[in-house]
Order: sequence, then C-alpha cells, then structure tokens
Amino acid sequence: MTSMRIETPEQMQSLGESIAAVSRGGDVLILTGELGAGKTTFAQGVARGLGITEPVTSPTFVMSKSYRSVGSLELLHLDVYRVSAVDQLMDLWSEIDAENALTLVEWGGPWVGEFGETVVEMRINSESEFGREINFTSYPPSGEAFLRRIESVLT
Amino acid sequence: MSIDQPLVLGIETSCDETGVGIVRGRELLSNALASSVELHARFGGVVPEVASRAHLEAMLPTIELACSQAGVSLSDIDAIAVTAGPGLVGALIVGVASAKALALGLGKPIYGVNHLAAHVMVDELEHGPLPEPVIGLLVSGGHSSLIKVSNGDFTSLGQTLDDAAGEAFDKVARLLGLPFPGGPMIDQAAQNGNSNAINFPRALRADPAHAFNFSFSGLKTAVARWVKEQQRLGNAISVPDVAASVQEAIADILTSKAIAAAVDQNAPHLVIAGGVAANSRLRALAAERCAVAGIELRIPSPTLCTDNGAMVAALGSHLFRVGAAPSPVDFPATSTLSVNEVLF
Repeated sequence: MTSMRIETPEQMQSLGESIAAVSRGGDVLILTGELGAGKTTFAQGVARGLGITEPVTSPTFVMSKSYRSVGSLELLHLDVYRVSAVDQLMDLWSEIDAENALTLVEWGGPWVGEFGETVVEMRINSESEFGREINFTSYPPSGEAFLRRIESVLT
Repeated sequence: MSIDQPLVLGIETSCDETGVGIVRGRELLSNALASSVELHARFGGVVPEVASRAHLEAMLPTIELACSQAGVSLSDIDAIAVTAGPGLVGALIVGVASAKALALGLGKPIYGVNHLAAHVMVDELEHGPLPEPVIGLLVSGGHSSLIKVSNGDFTSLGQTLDDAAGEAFDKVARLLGLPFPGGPMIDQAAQNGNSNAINFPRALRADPAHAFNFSFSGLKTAVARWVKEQQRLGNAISVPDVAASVQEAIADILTSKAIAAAVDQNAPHLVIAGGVAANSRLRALAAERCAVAGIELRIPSPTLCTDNGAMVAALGSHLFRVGAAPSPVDFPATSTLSVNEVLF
C-alpha cells in the first residue's frame, strides 16, 4: 500500500494528470471516497492529463461515460453506486470496451475483482477537516504493475 | 383533417419512463405513462438493462392506453414522433424501433426528435404558442441546460460542467441520510428550515467564461465539510436548516443564471421544465425574480415537467405544422444528441 497527502483541489487535479501520464489501456482505477471527497476533481485532472477538452460530467445518471482523447488512450468513467448484484455489473461491463481506455470506477469498492486484470484502488480519506489522505492498493493478478507506475510519479 | 391541427402520437423512452402521448395541434388528448421506477427501486436506481426490458414490455399496453384515453384509433394518427436522444441508448432504441414500426405500418411520417427540445415545447399544450425568443431552463436528474429558442431554432447557451441539479439534490439527501429521490425530500425538510442558516457556495456565479454554465459537484463537498465540522465541534445538525440552505443555493444559482440569459439574449420569456421544476423554492424564487425583471415565467404542470410522451407529441406536432421534413426511416438513437439538433 502506498500513501500520500493532498492539501488542495489543484493538487488533486495534478495527481490525476500525473497518473493519466503513466496509464495504459486496460488499467482500472477504483475511486473510493465519500460524497465530496474529490473524486470528480480527480477525474477532471485525469481528463486534462489525457488531453480531453470536453467537460467531464457526472456519470451517475447514465452509469458510464466515455471520452475520446487526443492520444490513443480513451477515458471511461463509471459510477456503479446503483449496481446491487454482480450480474447487473456484468451487463454493464460486457457492453464496455476497456482495452484501449483508462477506466475510473466510482463506488466500485464491492466489486474490485470484476473489472479486469490491472486494478488499483485509490482510497480518498476526507475525515480530517482539511486535506485528503490517499492510499493506493493493488489487486491481483496485475494491479501491482499499475501501482508501480503510479508510484513512479508520486513525489 | 386540417394540416394545422395534426393528430400526433409521441413516444418517450430515454430513461425509466415509457411515455406515450397524443395531441391534436396544441391540444393535449392523452398522456399515458408506465414507469419502471418501482422495478428500479428494487435495484436502488435506474439500471440500463432493466430499463430496456421494462420499456419493451410496457410499450404496446402504453400505446393502447394512450389511444383509448384520447378516444382515437391508430389509423387516425397523422404523424409519429419519438425521442431519438439524448438518453440511455438501450432505452432509446426500444422507443425508436417501436415508432418506426408504427410509422411504416400506418404509412405515416415519423419525426425523431430531441428530448431536451421536447421538454421546452410541451409548455405549448398548457400556455399556448411558445413566444420567441424564449429561454428554457431544463433541470432534472440527468440534465441542467439553458436553451434559447428563436425562429424555431434551439441553441444551447450552457449546461452543467459536472453534476445535474437533480443529482445535487439526490446526493445531498444521501449525505444527510434522507431517502431517494432526494429532491422532494429536501424540499419537504426545507419547509421547516432557515435558508440563510448556512451560506453554501454558488459555483460559477461571477465567472464570465461560464456565464450560462453550472457546476454542482462542489456543493456536495461543501455540505460534507460543513457536516463534519459540526460533528467535530460537537454541534447538533439541523437537517431542515441544511436542506433549506442547500435548496436556496441551487434555486439561487439556477434562477440568477436563467434570468441573466433572458436579459442577455433579449428574450423576455422563461420556461422551466424537468423534474426539478417541481421544487417549491425554485418556483417561488423564479416567480419573484422574473416579476422584478419583467420576464414572463411559464412552468408546465408537474406531469408534463417530468419525462412523458405528450412533450414528444407536442414537438412532433410543431414540426409537422411548420412543414419540417420528416426523419429518414434509418435515423439512429443517439445517447449524446445536442439540443441544436431538434430533428433528425
């Protein structure tokens, strides 16, 4: 597990940009944190890092949104808060082409094992009054490789 | 049958409501609705695959109900209109395919229309011809848009950059431990609260680059932070005060931007539509500020504000009357249709 601290929304966006720079197709980042923890802010930073100019709007209503970038890597943004059974998740996931995308999953905590092979969970702890404590955890079989790439850009 | 009073059947399946409405000219004849909300409640919300199957099952009975309520038979219909987007693509496809089958079978023209434009146009059924130019504020669980209608053209002036207004209500309600759907719950709790208790942020209020855009994501962060701070200090949290203050922030930013758009575009008429138009504070504040600014405010009845088939029929009827060319029969369902594209 890797930990760090974020003090401002700008730093949260920069973190997103940095992680975007070392992401590859098939990478999945599970974003775990309470409402208001900064998941949208982080996703906006990732989009900026991938060269996506359109606004990254909430995926809650449609559950999944995809964004084409200037590079080869797309951004997939999922909100699976309303998924309550694994077969519903499979319905959603089977319609998605995550091979050429960095996938961000909000509220994906209960389903970390279902999102392919290269999965890292990013936990945003917003318990304290200011700032955010962030922990990264990798999942088998190949999440650790993604985590190494993330660690390489953390200062 | 006079060409300026066409009998139009409209089909709406962009989310979880299967809606079929029939209008004659600008007269509402029926507005049948089969909601899969109860089905979705079991899953805790709208699940796309569940929505598609539910639309499929509800489609024929809802068409039959709309015809019987209107006292017409399908052979009387002059044209079919259907929501082509935006929405959940699997849900849209069911409506589009059904409408095409009806149009082909009856030998009548079909109009594949825009969901957002239909939300504005439905106001004609209650308040008469839409004055132009007019500003439409469309606020729901999935959309927050400012639209200008002028010379029959729909233009997007702005939209949310992150969460929709209805979603902000839902998520704040979740933070406060109130049940789903959050909008009516916040409205109810706010009745006994002080709207000036907490000054929550009005995002993008004075940002000229985003004069007509909205941002509601930061609001839930502000609420979460405020609640935590009170807990840390050991203060009791008044849910009515938080609900009233949040509602005030949302109603304030929506109405101030809508009125700024009306003034900027020299459009002294405002239509508010979508599920959030049911919010009592939004209605009251809009009425107050429109009166001061000399803007005519039009808000359709709640059953015409939420997703329904009559609004699609209303837009189809309008397009028929102005002689718009019907859609080619191979037009697609498009999940991200922009409001500028009213008709395929």
